Amino acid sequence: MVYKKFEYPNYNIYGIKNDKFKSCHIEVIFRKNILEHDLVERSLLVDTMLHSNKDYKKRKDFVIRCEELYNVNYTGVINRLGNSLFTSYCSSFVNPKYIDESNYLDEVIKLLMTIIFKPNITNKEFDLKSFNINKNNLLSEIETIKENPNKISIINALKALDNNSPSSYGLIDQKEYLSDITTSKLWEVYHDMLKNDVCDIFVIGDIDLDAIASVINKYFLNRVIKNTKSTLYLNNNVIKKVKEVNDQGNFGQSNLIMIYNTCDLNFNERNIIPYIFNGIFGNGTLNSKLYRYLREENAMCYGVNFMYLKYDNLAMIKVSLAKENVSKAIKLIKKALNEMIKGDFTEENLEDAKKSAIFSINMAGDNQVALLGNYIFNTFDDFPLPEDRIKIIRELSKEDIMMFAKKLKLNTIYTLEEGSNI
Amino acid sequence: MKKIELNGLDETIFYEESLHNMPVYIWQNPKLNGFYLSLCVKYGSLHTDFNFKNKTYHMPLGIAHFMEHIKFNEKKGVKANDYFEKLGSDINAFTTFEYTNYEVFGNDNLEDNLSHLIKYVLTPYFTKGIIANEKGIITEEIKMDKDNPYSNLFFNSLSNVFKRSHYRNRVAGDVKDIKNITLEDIKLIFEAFYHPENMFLVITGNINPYESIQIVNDTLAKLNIKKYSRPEIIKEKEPIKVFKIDDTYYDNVELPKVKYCLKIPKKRFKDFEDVKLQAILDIILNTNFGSVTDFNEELLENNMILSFTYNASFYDDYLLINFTFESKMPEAVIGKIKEQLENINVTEKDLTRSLNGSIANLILKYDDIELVSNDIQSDLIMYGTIHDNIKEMYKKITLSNVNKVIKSLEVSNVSITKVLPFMK
Repeated sequence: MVYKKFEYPNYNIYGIKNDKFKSCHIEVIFRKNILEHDLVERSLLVDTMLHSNKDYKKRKDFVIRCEELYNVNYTGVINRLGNSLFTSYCSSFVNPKYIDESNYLDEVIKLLMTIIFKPNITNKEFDLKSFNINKNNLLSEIETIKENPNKISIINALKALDNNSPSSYGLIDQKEYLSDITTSKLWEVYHDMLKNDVCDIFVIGDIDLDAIASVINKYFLNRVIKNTKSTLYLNNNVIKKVKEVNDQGNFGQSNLIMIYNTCDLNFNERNIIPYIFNGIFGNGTLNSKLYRYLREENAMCYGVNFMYLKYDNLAMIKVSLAKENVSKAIKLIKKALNEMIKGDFTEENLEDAKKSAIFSINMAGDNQVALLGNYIFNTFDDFPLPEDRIKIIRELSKEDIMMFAKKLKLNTIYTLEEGSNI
Repeated sequence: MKKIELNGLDETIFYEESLHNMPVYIWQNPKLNGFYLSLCVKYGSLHTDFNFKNKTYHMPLGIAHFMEHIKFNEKKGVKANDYFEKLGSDINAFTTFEYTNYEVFGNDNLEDNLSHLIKYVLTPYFTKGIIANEKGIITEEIKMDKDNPYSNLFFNSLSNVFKRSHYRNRVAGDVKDIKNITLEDIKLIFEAFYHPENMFLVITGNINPYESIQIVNDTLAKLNIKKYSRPEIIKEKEPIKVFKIDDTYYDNVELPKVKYCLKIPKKRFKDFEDVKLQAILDIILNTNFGSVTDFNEELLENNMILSFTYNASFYDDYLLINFTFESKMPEAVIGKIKEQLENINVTEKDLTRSLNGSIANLILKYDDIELVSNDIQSDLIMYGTIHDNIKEMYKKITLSNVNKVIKSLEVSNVSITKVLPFMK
């Protein structure tokens, strides 16, 4: 793999040349610190920009053009990562060497830049028709979040943790705000993104990186930006008394969520150890403590998840189960964590977890988007590249895992109880 | 070993029948880190009724999925996961209507991974205690699935389309079905279906095909495998007419969702082999209902749909064409679908563009060990063979082929399943 960086006055291009894949992938990422309404504003913005632009005013014509370009795929992704908001415009396309058209790469990049720099705007207002379609769709999408017990219980649990924390920001409570967004307000959102967000472009494929950088530079419009910095990490307050919140749901199963603060993590604890800890404590294998206690020994659930929310400095456990088993599950989860703190696991458990983590890193090397993801977070957050992560993993000791377990402080226990009418 | 060259794709599939007549398909890519092993048993949720050794059996629904769960037990207190965890590999399994897949993802030590996969799947260890414990776990899995309105809509629609076929039942069965599963049932299913002759193996990724087949044969040679007596699956004759034309029910949804399903006997398309028919149907649906159409544009512009998807799939002797959508005005969308179905048309330009896209997708599939394996599995289950000439087949699809399929589409045998929000 060859890594190469191209610096331009108001954006950088980071490329990986890799001959494993027949496709190429590009991500144009705009970053900023998140505000309460950003998720809904940017979601509407990206949907509307992917719906029509100055060159292809109807969605139908845009999709036809994509098919003509051998099913090139363009997507927009909005992600909150801790304190930051990422607005990404991505494209996956067949490696131009398999296509008999000499300007194929140029056309693919040109269309991506058309989406970003030539939206369907007249007099500082987005086209009303595309705007309305996407606004209505987003309103309906927000309504349907409530259909999913997993999503709704996680959202409610994060609200219970701290309603004002960016960790609890989402779309679900933004319906009223979305209703009030106008075509000119959306233009302001767009303008703000171009003017104030930091922009970086990442490319991967078996492709001449100099050539693709030159094509990007040909179509990427110059813009004047402030020297904005975005900060990824977010600190959620640690509390003395654990919050316990119960809600009544309408689903057939109850959902239990336990949220922990992760306190004062050092470099390895932030980047590497949670994944090894998870292998022993709570990941998908039937031998982890949570699976063993909840599923195998007590048959109270099908699955249980431990999620590490790195940029929120949080960790979360989620399990779907019958209401009558909730208190027992809480006791078993606490017991499992106490065992981790006391080091009640074997060297063999540790070695198995290390092998599993190294396996995941290696397998991610067979996925183009995951490979690029490694590079993106290495660039933004010094997240170690795969080979460095493997070196660190090999050196970890039992004490490292115990120390991480000690730094998990229970903050909130949330239960969405099953409905009595089911 | 036979080499199947995939024409126009620069790819080769290796094929050999192992000891005990198990077909093995191998795709090698030395540039990748990992490998994916799929040991597939041709036993799925459809196969509950069968004749075996001169007796007729009717098994509880969901037994194939139940077997998949308990197959991981190797001996008292030991699960297959224990072994693979030591290898640093990842194992899982899934059950479909037609088959059960036991899978391993690994990146090191092919011999131990492959050999143990075959051993644990083909070695029985079942007890009453294991069965009793698993009932609790699967009950929670079924309840979790029933909290998913999309899954409910999928299975409810199938139960409205089919009157007798087991496609009308959930793959995992219902809580009441699995309560009836016994140790004897499980032992019988193992004896009748878990034999290499009723299985196939797909290996994809960074492996050596010759070494792989050697491992398979060496492993099978060490196992105590008896001569196979193949059961005969009993299939109920499925009537042509859909079981229920219209069905509305209530669920935990915020927006109404609809499945509009056409049921068409496959024999209407007897001039086309299934793989070509599937390709043509995808083109027809894409060019008449997809994002490139005025139909779709109009539904969006009038705020008639939140989501709209379509697909054509084969279910034994029937072709089902499904339109699935979320809408605040379902009746109006149903009307539009009916109207569009009466006016299906594909132009030469549509065809060329759509074929370009299909060929690109075909090339890109060979980037991913799981996609390649899934493709081989689905070819073997649906068509009984893998196709080496798909790219050429796409290139040879003509407008006259497409029009012939359009002519044979019978659009009046429809089942419409609607799910509405509970009254508040």
